[in-house]
Amino acid sequence: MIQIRKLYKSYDDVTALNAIDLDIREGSITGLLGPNGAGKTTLVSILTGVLKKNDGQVTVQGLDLDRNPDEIKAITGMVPQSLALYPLLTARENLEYFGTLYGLSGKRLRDRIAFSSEAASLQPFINRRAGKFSGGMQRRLNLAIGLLNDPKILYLDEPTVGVDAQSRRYMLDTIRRINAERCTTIVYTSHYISEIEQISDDIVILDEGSIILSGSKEDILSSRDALAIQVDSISGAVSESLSALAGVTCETGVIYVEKNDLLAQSIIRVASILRDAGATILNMHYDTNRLEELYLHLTKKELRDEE
Amino acid sequence: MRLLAGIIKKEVLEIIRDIQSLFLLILMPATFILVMSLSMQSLFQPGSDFTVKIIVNDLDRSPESTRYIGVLKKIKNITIVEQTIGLPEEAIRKKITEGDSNFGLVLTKHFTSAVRNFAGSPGEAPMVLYIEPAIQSSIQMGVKNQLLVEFLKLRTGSFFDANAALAAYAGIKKNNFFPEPDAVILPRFAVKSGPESAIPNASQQSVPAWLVFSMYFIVMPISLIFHTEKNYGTLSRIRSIAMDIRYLIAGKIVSYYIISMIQVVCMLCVGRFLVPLLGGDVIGFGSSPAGLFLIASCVGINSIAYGLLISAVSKNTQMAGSLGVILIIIFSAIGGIMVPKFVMPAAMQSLSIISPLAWGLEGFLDIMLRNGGIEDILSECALLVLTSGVMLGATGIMLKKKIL
Repeated sequence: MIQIRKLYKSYDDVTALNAIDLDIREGSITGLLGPNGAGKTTLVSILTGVLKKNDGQVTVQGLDLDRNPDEIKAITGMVPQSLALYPLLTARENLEYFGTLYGLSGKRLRDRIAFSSEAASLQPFINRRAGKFSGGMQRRLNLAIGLLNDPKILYLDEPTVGVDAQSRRYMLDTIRRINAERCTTIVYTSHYISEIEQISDDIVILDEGSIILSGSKEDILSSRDALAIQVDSISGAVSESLSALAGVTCETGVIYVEKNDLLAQSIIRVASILRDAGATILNMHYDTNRLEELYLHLTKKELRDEE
Repeated sequence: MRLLAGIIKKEVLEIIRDIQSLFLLILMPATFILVMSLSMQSLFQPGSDFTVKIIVNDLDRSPESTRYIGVLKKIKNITIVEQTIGLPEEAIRKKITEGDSNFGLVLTKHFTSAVRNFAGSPGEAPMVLYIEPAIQSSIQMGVKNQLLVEFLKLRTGSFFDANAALAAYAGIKKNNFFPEPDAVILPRFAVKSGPESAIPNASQQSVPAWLVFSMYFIVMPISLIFHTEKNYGTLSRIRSIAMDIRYLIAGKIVSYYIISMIQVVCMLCVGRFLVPLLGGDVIGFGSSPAGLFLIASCVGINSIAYGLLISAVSKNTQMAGSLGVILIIIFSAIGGIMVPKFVMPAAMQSLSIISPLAWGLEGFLDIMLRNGGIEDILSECALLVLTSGVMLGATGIMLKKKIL
């Protein structure tokens, strides 16, 4: 659906995106995750035609972004990070205005407004000014505007910032429903790791303008949450002794110690058995089924204040 | 066309729902026009109710001085607030500085001799006039002339009384010697063409000035909407839509033009209907509606181009607001909006040619005050359109560089 090759973007001397290669599958929900300044918004802005890239190639459904920007924009919807709406206009007037910009009119415009406002659960408030909406309602209107042109690809750039848990849940459900019912390809950026974990089929972790991890959620997240100890070789007897310990399992060359309250004691026992057996520990790492741990492990835990 | 209509609808709705913009575009200039028209009325209208307050201190205490004071009392524009016969000089100064009076007139003990003495040198001054420093020089001059004229009338009357036989022999009548001013000077106001207009009044002076001034305040809503769109991310959203951005700019220009024309109609209605209701003068629109429409359109387009340029060069609404307003005030000051151009020194008058507000004001005055037609405002219109083109071009370049 979307192919990105050697994409490069810089602002003055700062490299925002550095040789990005990425494929986004049709009909998938791809979660873009990364700390502040990782390049998520820049990537979305380039893909939506808001920003110009410095180098690289982007094709969407076989269309080149440089040569066919309008054709790509026509099948694209965008829900930007900021509330891209007019507070002095009512929700309906906002939807009518952006619908007109999308080239909609008459019955088609009315139908799309009805669909979008229903999807965002705004119909009871459609004649109220957007400036009088709560934060959650404004975010939902922001989403509704992005759905107006019935996009094949929908980019959502941190669409749930500052909303309450109920609105966030509703928006995530709506996005998933749209993806399922209309087979809309969705690219979703967020600071909320749980959101990405919850909603995405594929996950991309960006840091300092580069992709540091990408793949399907199943591939990225292990089924277990354990300390993996890789050893040179152990005998069957040692393996049996280790497996007899609570929360410890052995596979070929790897011992998994379950991450629970007894982890410290288990590690001491495993280490003791391995020492007695004369086995050499080659490597130790956590296998996690939690995205947050993986994310913090990959992007380090230091604060990422933007300059 | 549907796209353009949609953009215009949104822009107009945004402006008319913004209380601050409505205040700046309609209420502020309407208030200016009302206040200035009513307060300046007496200055522009001959024979009006405008009066100066005078304290008269009669040190001469003679029939001549009494007669002179009696004559002054009959003058419509002079009110004698106090008449004394021995008030010290300090007390007169104090009363003037405390605002009890605008002038203090002392008839010295030489008054009678000055009235009656036709042969010798003038001698001591018969009158001393204390003047409040804040009084306009034109009013000072008017009062001095009035006092002088009445003194000369008294003196001439005295001459006639002393030489009645000689006057009768020469066939000179005392009453005909000082005719009424209108019988001597017939004022006529120079107009461009057509019939002579009525005497220009305060409304006709102030309505065009404050109308032009207020039209440039469209910079505020323009910059507010522009920066809100930028900050709220709506410009980014619009750029992600497959549409020709030129429609957006054209839609904005047409919307603001409509607002400008509404503003013009409102201000002219204030001058025509509201000011007279409050006792002010009725404004005349001249004899060329097409000319009025043309100059209003040119000023409107110029003010919109100015607003867009200020929005493009400024980083945020605050900067656009201060920069936009400061420049309007500077151009108003040198353009004859705040102070009529004819009272400015020659150098300042020359400087006014750089002010677009001065071009607009001259155009409105040509039509409304001087009864001019389209041909009389072509140079002003050309200047306004030309600078609008330059400002819009610069705006386009800047927007392309910074945003689009």
